[in-house]
Amino acid sequence: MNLSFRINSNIDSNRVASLIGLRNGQLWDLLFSAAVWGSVLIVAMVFLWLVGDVLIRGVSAVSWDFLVSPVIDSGRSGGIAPVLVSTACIVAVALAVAFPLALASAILIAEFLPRTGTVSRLVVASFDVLAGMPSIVFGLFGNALFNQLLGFGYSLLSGGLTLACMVLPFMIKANVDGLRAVPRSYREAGDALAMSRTSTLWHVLLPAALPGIIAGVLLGMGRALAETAALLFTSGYVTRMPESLMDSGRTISIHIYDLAMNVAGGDRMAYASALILVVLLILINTAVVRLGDWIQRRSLRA
Amino acid sequence: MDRITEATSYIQEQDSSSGNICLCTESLCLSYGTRAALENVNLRIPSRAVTAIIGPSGSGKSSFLCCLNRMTDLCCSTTIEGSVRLGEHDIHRDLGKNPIALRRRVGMVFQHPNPFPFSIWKNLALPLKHHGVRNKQELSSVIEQALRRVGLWEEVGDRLRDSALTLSGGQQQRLCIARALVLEPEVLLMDEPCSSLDPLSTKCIETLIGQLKNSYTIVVVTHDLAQARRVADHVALFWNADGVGRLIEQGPAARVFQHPEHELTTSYLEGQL
Ligand SMILES: Nc1ncnc2c1ncn2[C@@H]1O[C@H](COP(=O)(O)OP(=O)(O)O)[C@@H](O)[C@H]1O
Ligand SMILES: [Mg+2]
Repeated sequence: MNLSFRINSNIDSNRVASLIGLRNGQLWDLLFSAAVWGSVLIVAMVFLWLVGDVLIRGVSAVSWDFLVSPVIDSGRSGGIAPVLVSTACIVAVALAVAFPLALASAILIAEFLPRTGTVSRLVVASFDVLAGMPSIVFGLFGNALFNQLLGFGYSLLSGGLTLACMVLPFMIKANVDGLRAVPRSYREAGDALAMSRTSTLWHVLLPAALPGIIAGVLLGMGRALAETAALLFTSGYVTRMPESLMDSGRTISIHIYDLAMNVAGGDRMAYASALILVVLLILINTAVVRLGDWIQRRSLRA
Repeated sequence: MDRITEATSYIQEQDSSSGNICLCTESLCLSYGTRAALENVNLRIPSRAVTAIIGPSGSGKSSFLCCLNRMTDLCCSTTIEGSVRLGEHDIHRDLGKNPIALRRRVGMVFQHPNPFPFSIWKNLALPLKHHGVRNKQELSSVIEQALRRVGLWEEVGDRLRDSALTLSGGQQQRLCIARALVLEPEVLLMDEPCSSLDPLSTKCIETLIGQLKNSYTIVVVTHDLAQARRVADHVALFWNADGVGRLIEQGPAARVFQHPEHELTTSYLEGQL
C-alpha cells in the first residue's frame, strides 16, 4: 500500500517536472540513456547489415546441392562439399590438440603455480606475447616446423597443428580466467573435507569453471574457422576432396578469400560460402553453449 | 611482554587438572613468511566439550584454528614450530606429509557458509564417495542421519536435489556442519560460524553445538562474548601483543568469566559488557 503510494507520487512528480521542463539532472540522464541506446543501435545495425548483406547476396546460390557438390571451375559453379570436409578436419585437429594442452596448462597456472611467482608471471607474459602475434607469423612457423621439418607437407594435419599453436594462448587464458573465477572457498571446503587436490579439481573446480572453459573452446573455434593467412602456408588451398589428414585442403575462409580475390565472377559463390560460414558459426556457438549448460547442470545437480 | 608469558605458564600449571585432553599444543609458533602470527601457544582442548576461542580480531584465532587441521599448509611459506598433539600423535611430525588422514579426524566449518554449488544431496555425497562409500542405500541413510542431526531433514528432506545455494544462510551453514560430520571426525573446528547469520539461525547453531558436544570435541572461534558465555565449557583468550598473537588466558568458562586472572582479560570482558 505504502509502496504503491510512493511509486505513484514519484511518477506524479516526474510528470510535473517534465511538464515544466527538464531539470539539469534529468537532462544528463536523458543524454546518457540516448548515448547508451545509440551505441547499442549502431552495433546492432552493423551486425544486421552485415548478415543482411551476406544473406541477400548469397542466399540465391545456396541449396542442398551447393553443400554436397564438389568445387567446379575454381568455385564458379558446383558446391563446397570438399571445403566443408577440410574445414571440419582442420578445426577438429586444432581443437583436439589445443584443448587438452590448454586445459592442462591452465590447471598448472591457476591451481599449482603461486600466482605472483616468477614462473607464473613469465609463462603468462609469454602467452600474452603469443596472443598478440600476427597469424601470418604462425603460418611461417607452421610451414617451417610441420610442413618441412616434420615432413607433413601441405596437409590438413599441418594446418590443424598450426591453428592449434595459434589458438592455444587464447584458450589457456580463457581457462585460467574460468578457474580463477571459482571462489577460493570451494578449495578450502574440499581441503577441509580431506579431499585430495585432484579430486576437488575434478569434481568441484572444473564443473564450476565450465563457463570459462566453454568460452575458451568457442574463442578457439571461432578464430580457427576465420583464419586464412596461417593456412595458406600450411594446409594449402587445394579444392579436391581430402582422403586423409595428410592431404592438402582449403577451409571455407580460404575459399571465400580465393573466390573474392582471385576468381573473376566468383562473387556470388563467395557470398554463398560466407553465408554458410556465418550460419555455421551461429549453429556451433549455440550447440556448444547448450552442451556446456547441459554438462554443468548434470554435474552440479546429480 | 614478560607479564604475558608469565601468565601463560602460570595458567598452564593451574589448568592441567581438567579431564581428558583431546588436542594440545606445545609452544606453538606460526609465521607467515617472516611475519610471526602466533607465538608460544600452549593450549589444552578437553575432549567432548566446547572450547571457545575469543579475542580481538587480528589476534590469530583463525590462524590458530588452521594449525589444528593443517589448513596452514595451503598458504605457501608458513612455518610452524612447536607441536600440536592429537591423542598421542604429533600432527605435524607423525602424520608426515599427508594431511588428509588428519583432516578426516579434524573437521572444519568456516566463517562464511561454503556449500559447493551442487545439490544438497551431492554436497553430502561427494565427501562420502571420496572416502569410499559407494553403496546408494548406505549413502542415503548416512545423508539422512547427518541432515537430521543438524535439524535440516524436516526443512529440506523433500528437496535434496535442489541446489544448496537456494538455502538460506543459516541452512547453508548447517549443511556445511552436516557435511563436516558425515566423515565422523573426532574434532570439529568452527571459525566464527555465526558471524554472517541472523539471530535466529545463530540460536539454532548454538543449540546444535550444545547437542554435538556430547559426541565431538568442538573448538569454536567467536568474537561474540555473549555467545562464548552461552556455549563454552572452556575459554581461551588470544591477544595481539606487538603484532603477534598470544594466548593469555585459558580455563573453564565459569572461572574465566567470573574470576579472570589476567588484567587484559578483565578489561576485555568489561569493555564488551
Ligand atoms: N594467509 C595469510 N597470509 C599472511 N598473513 C596472514 C594470513 N592469514 C592471517 N594473516 C595474518 O595473521 C594475523 C592473524 O590473523 P587471523 O588469524 O585471521 O586473526 P583473527 O582470526 O583472530 O582475526 C593477522 O595479522 C593477519 O594479517
Ligand atoms: Mg578470523
